[in-house]
Amino acid sequence: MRRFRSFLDFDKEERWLNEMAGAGWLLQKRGIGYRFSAIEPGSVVVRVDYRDRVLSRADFDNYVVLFADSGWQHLDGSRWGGSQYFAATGADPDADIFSDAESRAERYRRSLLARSGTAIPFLVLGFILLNSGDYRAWPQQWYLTPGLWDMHGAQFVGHFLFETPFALARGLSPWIVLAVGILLVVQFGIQYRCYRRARLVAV
Amino acid sequence: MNRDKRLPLTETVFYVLLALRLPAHGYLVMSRVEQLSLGQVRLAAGTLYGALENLMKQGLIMPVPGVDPRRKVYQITDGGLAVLERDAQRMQHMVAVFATVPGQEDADASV
Repeated sequence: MRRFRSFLDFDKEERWLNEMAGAGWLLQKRGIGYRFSAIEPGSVVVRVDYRDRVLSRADFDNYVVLFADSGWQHLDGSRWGGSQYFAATGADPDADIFSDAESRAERYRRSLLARSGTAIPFLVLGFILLNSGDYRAWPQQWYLTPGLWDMHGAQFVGHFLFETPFALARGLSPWIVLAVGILLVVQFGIQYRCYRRARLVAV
Repeated sequence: MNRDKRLPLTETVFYVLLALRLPAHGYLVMSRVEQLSLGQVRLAAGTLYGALENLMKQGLIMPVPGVDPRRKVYQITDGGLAVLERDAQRMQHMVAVFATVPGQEDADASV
């Protein structure tokens, strides 16, 4: 089964994954969305870690084996970094991969570290594109076919429709690039608040 | 006196360093810490992994050759040993001074 959701809050993500496990669906793979496989309801606890750096094959093995030695099976996650999903089969629903609130908060810091700076290239590129002398603000100016606006009937429609995808790419791409940059900044802010909340628990 | 900025060590870090006076892989560190602390400190895998990473970064522990390529073996460095000893002295002083400073309840008892 597949579900499409997206989380910036690891605690919320964990809660949802455990609700799913309680209903008999264990995370199998996280790609575009989450893929689940059927299990006996409520028999498994799921926890999420985050790795901010690329691990060598040997280091990633060591990471996974350390968790396995203490009863946590690696469900999904890449040695290139990102969220790492673990499951434990046992009676204890409070079983955790973190034994103190501080290390539990640290995964947000690692994720923020990985995110930091990702918005900058988008914001800079968007700004440059908008301020380069070539950018035209009016949609009419996005069409470059010579004499387009003096054409009539089928000839106009044909040329107009043909150029529209190119015109939109020309006119909207700086805004799309800028919007991606702003979205990344907003995501960073939301996750920073999660980090602050987790730190407060730790103190 | 200029104090080492790394002090005081957290309970987790203190026990991990103590456990690594002899080489050990991750899971062995966990069981040694649990034994040394009389079951008081039970490190979970994610917490231990983060602690090991930080201690490596600070140069307080180092990887040493091990038997199993899938289980990295760590050991304390000279720097780690120095920090551990300084923290033990700090705590020894705290315990000693605790016994010498009288409180209200002692005064009440002697009246």
